[in-house]
Amino acid sequence: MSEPTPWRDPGLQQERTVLAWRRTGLALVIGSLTVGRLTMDTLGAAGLVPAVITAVLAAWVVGATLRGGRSAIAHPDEPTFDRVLRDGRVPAVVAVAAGTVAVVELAAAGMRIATL
Amino acid sequence: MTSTRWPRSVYGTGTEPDPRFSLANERTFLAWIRTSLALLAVAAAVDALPLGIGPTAQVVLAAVLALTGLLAAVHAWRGWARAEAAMRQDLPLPGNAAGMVVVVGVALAGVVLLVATLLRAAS
Repeated sequence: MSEPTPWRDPGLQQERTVLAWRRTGLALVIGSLTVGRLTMDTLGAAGLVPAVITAVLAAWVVGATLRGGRSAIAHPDEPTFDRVLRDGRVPAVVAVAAGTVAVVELAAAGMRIATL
Repeated sequence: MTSTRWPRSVYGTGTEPDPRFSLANERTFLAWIRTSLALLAVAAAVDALPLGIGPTAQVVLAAVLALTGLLAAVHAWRGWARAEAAMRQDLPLPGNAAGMVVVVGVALAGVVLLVATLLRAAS
């Protein structure tokens, strides 16, 4: 770490991580909107609003993976994509988003059980 | 930058691990999130589509799957934080006992589906 030599990572760890974030973000966009739509007749807007908020957050994650052409091959110390992610904040937001989708679906199932 | 990293329970102690290991830990976290989302997608589908096993069985199946998906999301975060903290302190990685919850949830969903299908076939 003395001189700024060109970063070379034969395992492409950074790129694989960016791609993992991207496909997770896309899955979260689709998943939250699908759950919001399928629970609409049970929960209405109460399920749709958190689903749309989650989808927007997930879309932001996808956008972050696309920002900057060099981000996928950036050095881990460079202030690009990983500056946002080398920290627990974005993982926490994504975990809470997935948890929110789960709670919406659980609420819909609970409502259905209550009205059986 | 380092002092503002969150959460403190992870970044408050230890030394920076090899970035590649932090990235691998992040990908494991993301794989758990996608597992959670897969369970939730199936839960929503089961809740919405007629399966021919009766409405009660369907909604119980959906609830089991959704609860398992919720636990998978919780485990994604907890597992990430514990692994990152362990790497920073040069400790052995924590075990994956919490992953067992997902195994039990999916198995339970399988049992519900099997029993409901058999009951339907018998009647």
